[in-house]
Amino acid sequence: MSYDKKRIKILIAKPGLDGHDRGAKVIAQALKDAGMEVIYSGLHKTIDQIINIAIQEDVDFIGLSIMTGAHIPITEKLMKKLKEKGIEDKKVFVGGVIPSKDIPKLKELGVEGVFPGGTPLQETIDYIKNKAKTP
Amino acid sequence: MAVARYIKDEKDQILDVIYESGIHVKPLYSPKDLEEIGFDYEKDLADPGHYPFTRGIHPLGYRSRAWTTRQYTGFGTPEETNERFKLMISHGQTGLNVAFDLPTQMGYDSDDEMAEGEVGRVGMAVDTLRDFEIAFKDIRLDKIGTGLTINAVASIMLAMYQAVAEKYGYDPKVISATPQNDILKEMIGRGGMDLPCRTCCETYRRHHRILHEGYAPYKSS
Repeated sequence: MSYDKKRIKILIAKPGLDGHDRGAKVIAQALKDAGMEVIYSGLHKTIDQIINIAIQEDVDFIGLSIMTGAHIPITEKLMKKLKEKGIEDKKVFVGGVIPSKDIPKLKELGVEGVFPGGTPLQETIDYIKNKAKTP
Repeated sequence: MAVARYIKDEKDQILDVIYESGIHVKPLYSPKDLEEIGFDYEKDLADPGHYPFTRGIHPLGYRSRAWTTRQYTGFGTPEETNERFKLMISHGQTGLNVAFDLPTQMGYDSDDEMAEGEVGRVGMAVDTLRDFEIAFKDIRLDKIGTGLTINAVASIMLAMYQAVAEKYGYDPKVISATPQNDILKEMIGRGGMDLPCRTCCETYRRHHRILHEGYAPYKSS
């Protein structure tokens, strides 16, 4: 194994009460297959728990998987807490059931990658690889 | 993965089919097979509406009574849900199927931190009996059966339904409710807790105690 390049480390998280984890697991597997290190939070995590995992595991990216329609308040809360904790360098992306009208709102919150259901896996992988290059 | 294994002879004729579970199924059956196993019509098949109910629990099936139509309904507040219930019934629905929001489904109050952003989102929010009273106001609970699509807290929701029916003056014998109450869906399917509920058959004769759901266990493999 070569150590000259750091592996991209990602947290795939399921915030709130959503019980649908198939999408999160598919994405986690795809990112792992693409050579990244992936941590999966498990179901029903609070924003504080997600932040803690992100700090302890020192991830580069946090991917939220949300199917409940609560993506705006949840993402808003996460972004706020990232700032509070001084770890806003961690990049956030969101996937799940995201209506296209909400994508601009998520981008306003500082989420650059939004991947609703049906997004080709390669698109998400490419986004992360490109994003990882930029500080 | 193959579902069945086909055993063939040299002429490519199928001799045996073995399913994943190990069950052997012949490619073709005839009355001779029934003779061989000592088939008894009354005992093994019987008329519809009779034991062992191989052909359904009703003697005339859907010819005697059409199936219940109930679309999964419920959102926002109990008031909005009540309005929606009435709309669905006025459009010919013969039953109700209540959608609860996730905090209610998982047993959280609407003001709990975990419920943030999810109150009234994918179904109606229920915190107290008053919410149920509003949701079922002016609905003929003796004419309409209700499916309660909820598992972990099904016993509480069923008790609330019964309390509301009692309050509105219905005989427990005429009301009909079906909690989902499905451990496969709740625990295996979506990682929740399941606390199965039982009801008194004598008092609540028209209740169905469980409704197995195929979607969530399938989705979570």
